[in-house]
Amino acid sequence: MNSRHRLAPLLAIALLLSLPLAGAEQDLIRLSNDIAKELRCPAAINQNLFESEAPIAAELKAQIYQKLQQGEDREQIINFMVQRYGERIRYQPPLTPATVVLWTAPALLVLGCGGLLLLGRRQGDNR
Amino acid sequence: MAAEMGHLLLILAMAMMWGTAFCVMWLPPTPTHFRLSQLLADSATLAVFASYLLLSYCFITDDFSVRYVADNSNSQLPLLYKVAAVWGSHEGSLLLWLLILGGLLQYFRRSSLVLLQRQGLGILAAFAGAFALVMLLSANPFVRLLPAVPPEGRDLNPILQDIGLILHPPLLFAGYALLGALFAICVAILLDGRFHQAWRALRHLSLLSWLFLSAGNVLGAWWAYSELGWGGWWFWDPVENAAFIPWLLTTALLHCLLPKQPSPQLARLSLLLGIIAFGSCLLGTFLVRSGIVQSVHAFTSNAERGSLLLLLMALMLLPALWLYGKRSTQLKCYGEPAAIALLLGIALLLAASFSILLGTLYPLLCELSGLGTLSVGAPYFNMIFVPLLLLMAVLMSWSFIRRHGNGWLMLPWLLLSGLWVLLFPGHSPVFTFLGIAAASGLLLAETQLWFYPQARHPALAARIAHVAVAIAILGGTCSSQYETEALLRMSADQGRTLHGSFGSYSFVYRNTQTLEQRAYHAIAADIELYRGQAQLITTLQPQRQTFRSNGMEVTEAAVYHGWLQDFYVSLGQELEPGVYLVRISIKPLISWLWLGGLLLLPAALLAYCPRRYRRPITHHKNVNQGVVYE
Repeated sequence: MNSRHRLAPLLAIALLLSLPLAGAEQDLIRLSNDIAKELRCPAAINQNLFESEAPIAAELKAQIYQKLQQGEDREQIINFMVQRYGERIRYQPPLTPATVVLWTAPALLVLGCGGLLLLGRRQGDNR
Repeated sequence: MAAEMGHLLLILAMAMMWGTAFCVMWLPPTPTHFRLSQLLADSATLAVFASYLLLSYCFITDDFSVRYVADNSNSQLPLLYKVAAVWGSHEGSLLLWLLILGGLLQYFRRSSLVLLQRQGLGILAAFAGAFALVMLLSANPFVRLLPAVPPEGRDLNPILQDIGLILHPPLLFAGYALLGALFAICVAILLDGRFHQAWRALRHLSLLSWLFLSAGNVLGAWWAYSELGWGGWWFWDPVENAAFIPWLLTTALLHCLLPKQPSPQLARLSLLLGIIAFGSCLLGTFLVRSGIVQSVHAFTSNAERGSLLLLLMALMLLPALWLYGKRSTQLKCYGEPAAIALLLGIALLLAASFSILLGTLYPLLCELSGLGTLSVGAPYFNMIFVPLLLLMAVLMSWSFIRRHGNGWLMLPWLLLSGLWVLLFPGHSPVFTFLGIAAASGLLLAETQLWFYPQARHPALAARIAHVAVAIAILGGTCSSQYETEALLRMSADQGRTLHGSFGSYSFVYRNTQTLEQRAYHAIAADIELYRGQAQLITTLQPQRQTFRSNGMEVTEAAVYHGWLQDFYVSLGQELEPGVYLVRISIKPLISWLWLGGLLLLPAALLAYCPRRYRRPITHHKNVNQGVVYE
């Protein structure tokens, strides 16, 4: 306990020195985390890269950060990952002929359900 | 011996369930047959109960010659977990489900309504019997491992060795079983045709299943947050969706049953919702238990039991839907047409549930139809669900606010929400706006109602539920949008300051300890949490536990809870000797999410309170209140 207290001031200084990260770097880390959250870990069952503890996930996370540092943007990185690991790696599928239904269905469902129920109401009125 | 008795009792229970159904549905309705059906229902309930107790007994006495016990227990497991391990895996959880179905048989049998005593009881018993058959064929918990009896059991899945497990699955299974009862009532009403008689029972059961599903979902999210070590609370994983879709549909059903004299349309809709809510829980169970979709939470999967579950679903749903198609149009009743806002709200809930279902199934559908493999995950579901949430909130608030001629309030409300997002954009301004606008709109509507106590407005229970939803949305939005998180390499006496929404906080890694527990040994880090850089708040101790029985590694996050924000620390892998990956996160307002979830429960209990039904009905007295066939 005592030694810990004696260390405290020293530590505070070390902390202060190590702390202030450049704002740009913070943004880069945040962006890299955001991208990692959108990608599925190739080794885990259903977990994103950010949450996965598999070695491959750590490697890919590092790669995302490196690529961001090299100036690549989000889309380029995701495309790179898709090329390497296939469509399955991205949790948000792009709009392609295969996913038209997936992307349009919610809007159609809202219109369809709402329309049907309102229509049913009017029919009930007439009866 | 106990296992054989349990097995026999399970077979007997199945036979008696079939017998009950046969008695009620096929034999002529004489008093003798009626008494026989009641006797059979009673014995079926008793048999399932005894069978369940015998399986628990096998667990408590460490009978590892029973395969299910050997796979899911261990002589070193504490008694509490041995009892909970009964429902820790597929076979036992189905038995728990059947046990609750057995209890519900008694609810039907003892009901004062002839409709429930006869058709309802018959349909529920038929379902329970079919369910028992599926269990006996594909998931029998009493199968012996002979002659090669293992000296020691494998362990209960370490992730499940937690107090959250003890309550979470039974709550969900109670909700599922109640949906089965709801289905039985709906089909009974279709067979019999008298809707208004069964309205109260329908409402009671839907409230009860909503209560259990809400509690199950909230507790599941809480468990994921505080135990699983991933830091999130909702992952849109197929297993979670399988519990969430029935909840959404039951919510829609509750709203259908709001008017005391439902219009024919609402009566039809509520029957349909009862049937598909039940269908969604069977479908979810099939998806999860067959292993056909990949899930983080899937602990067991087997293709054969999947096909049987699918068959059970088809056997239950297809006749019911056929009956619905044939009979529902013949309903003739004279309730007033439902309010448009109510109908639109129900439509949104329906659209949300079907969208989530589609997203869950889409990878599977794509693969089956040869369109290639893909994943649909959290980003998609958030993008679909959050806008729908705002639409629902707008609908709820608008219909309340407009009633008092204060519709103009909508404009400043949207502007203020926009202004808020300009000032505090969060990680994603669009989501921040949707969440903040939805929550504040709902709260605005509720405060509006507060000023007009004499006006006709929804009951207290509904108001509490809506405030609860608003609080939960606020908590969910703020905790995900204003979260500060970092993934750090840390070793002894290293620290880092993070700037959260309510000031900056420092985390200092002090030292690493090893802990020896009965079931696991753990590496624990002492991480001190300071306000600013000097004022010590607390010491957090995240752990990595390695279970002795099967070598599985589990992270146990440490959370310092507060009303304004939670401090969340989870210990990752050891990168180099003494250097660990540490995940730190400051989550503002996340406690509000739990508060909102918790508030749903008293709301449901209050609505369940039968006092409300005694209030005399004052409007449209002169119309025929019944729903009868032509």
